[in-house]
Amino acid sequence: MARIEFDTLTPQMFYILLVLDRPRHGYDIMNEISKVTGDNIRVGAGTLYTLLSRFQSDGFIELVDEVDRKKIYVITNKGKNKLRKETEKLQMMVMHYEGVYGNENEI
Amino acid sequence: MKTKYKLINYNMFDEDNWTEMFEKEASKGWMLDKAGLFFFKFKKSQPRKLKFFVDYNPAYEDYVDLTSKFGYAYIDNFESFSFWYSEDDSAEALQSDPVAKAVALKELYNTPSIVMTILIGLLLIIISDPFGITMNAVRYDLGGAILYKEFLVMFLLMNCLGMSMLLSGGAKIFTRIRYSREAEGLETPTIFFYMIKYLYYFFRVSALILFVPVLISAVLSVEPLRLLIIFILLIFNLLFGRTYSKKIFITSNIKNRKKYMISWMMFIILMLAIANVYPLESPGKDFAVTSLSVQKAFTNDANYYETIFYDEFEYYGSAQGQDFGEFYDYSYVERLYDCKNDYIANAIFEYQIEEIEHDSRIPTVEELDARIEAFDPYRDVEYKSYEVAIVSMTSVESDKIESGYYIGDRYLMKKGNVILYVLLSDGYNIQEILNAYF
Repeated sequence: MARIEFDTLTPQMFYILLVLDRPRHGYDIMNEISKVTGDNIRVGAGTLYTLLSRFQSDGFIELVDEVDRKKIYVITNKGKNKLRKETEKLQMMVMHYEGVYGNENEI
Repeated sequence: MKTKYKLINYNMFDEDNWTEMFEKEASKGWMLDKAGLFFFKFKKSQPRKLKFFVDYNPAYEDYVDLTSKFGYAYIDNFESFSFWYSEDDSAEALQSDPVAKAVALKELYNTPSIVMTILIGLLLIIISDPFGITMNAVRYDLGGAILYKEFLVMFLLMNCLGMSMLLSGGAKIFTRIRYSREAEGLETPTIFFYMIKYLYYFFRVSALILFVPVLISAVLSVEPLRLLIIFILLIFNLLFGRTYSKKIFITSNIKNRKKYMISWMMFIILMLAIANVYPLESPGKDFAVTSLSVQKAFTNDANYYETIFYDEFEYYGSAQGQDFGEFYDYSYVERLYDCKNDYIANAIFEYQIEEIEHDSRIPTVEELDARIEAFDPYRDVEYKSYEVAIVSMTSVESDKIESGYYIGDRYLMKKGNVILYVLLSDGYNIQEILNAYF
């Protein structure tokens, strides 16, 4: 089935939205993601920039301030909903996985 | 400082070629300096092992600041592609998420840019080619072009440019579809890659193989000074447009966007100017007037064919008893066409035969009733092919002509390049008339 744009978030998209729980600028976002994920997920500067402008135009995040040419963004309610739905989806997938392979892990 | 230029290979579908080439040049001691309108400029430097990147985001100040913190340096942009390098050999790609990359690329091929390309392409074709004369021009001018080329080079010049813009517009549509599919996580069918690749390929081939020779013949066949002035203005305009397209890329200033739009409008105006440069071989006859007649000619109005197809065209009218001079003191002659060449003569002959057949077709009672019922006086216009038309006509037997046909009192005869169209009045013999003419 066709997937609409941003219907499913890629890990990088997910973490950008996640760390924007408080106002941050680009560099801060990238550092925070590295910190949160223990360097497992790294977002390229180009990707970050593309996604920030797309998320902003889609209303997932909003621009709150601009200091020294640095744009500071924060998540909106729409963005929070998106993140929650995505998490629920992931939880459901984990649950289903455990339903099938849950016992194998214990053995 | 030593510099070196390399032609920009417009490989939109495979930008990895670019980064590979930059890396190779850098290791040889040539550092990418600028991306111009047609060339990449390299400067001589120490051989270095650098990593290059192509990006698709506008290089606004905040973005350049952000990337510089990670060791990326901005070089220049070519249209919407920006070039970056990093001294760190292990530097990661600027675009780390393939879905986000597809989103960025999709934005590049946005609807306004596609619409603009296609509209300008169409406009160029419309300027040079009203009422769809292209196919007719191909049909008639393969024979006639060699003889009467001055209007054709301009016509072809605009068409080539228009066609290549349409091709690139088509390629842009497929590219957009490709990236929007990728942004939605869908596979791109292989056929799309071929479509994009070959549309760009044809775009470039049509630009090189058709445009360049046509351009040269345009310069040779029309007034060079005026054309030169327009070309110089065109180059200035291209440079002006390029300057502002670069500015748009690094600052989000609305004034720059307006100036960029002005450069596009100038381009259209200059193209219109080129279409009106008048040809060398017919001084005194304005090219605009000539091309207008050409356009009308192709709308099948026989009276206008003269401008392009005939050396001599005489229209005698069909008024009875009028004095037309020594040889023409008969009232039988409708028209005489002395065509440019045999090919055109044949084409006109075929065309005239269809007309005659159509004119003299007398409708039956049933047909008339049907016509009145339909309330449409133009419904009776029915296309008859040459073959169909000729069947209902009778051949004229004479040694004086190659071929001739008549129906009722209408005679159409051809010898070499000359076509004679006769409306025979009572008391005249067709053989007499032929003796007088041929």
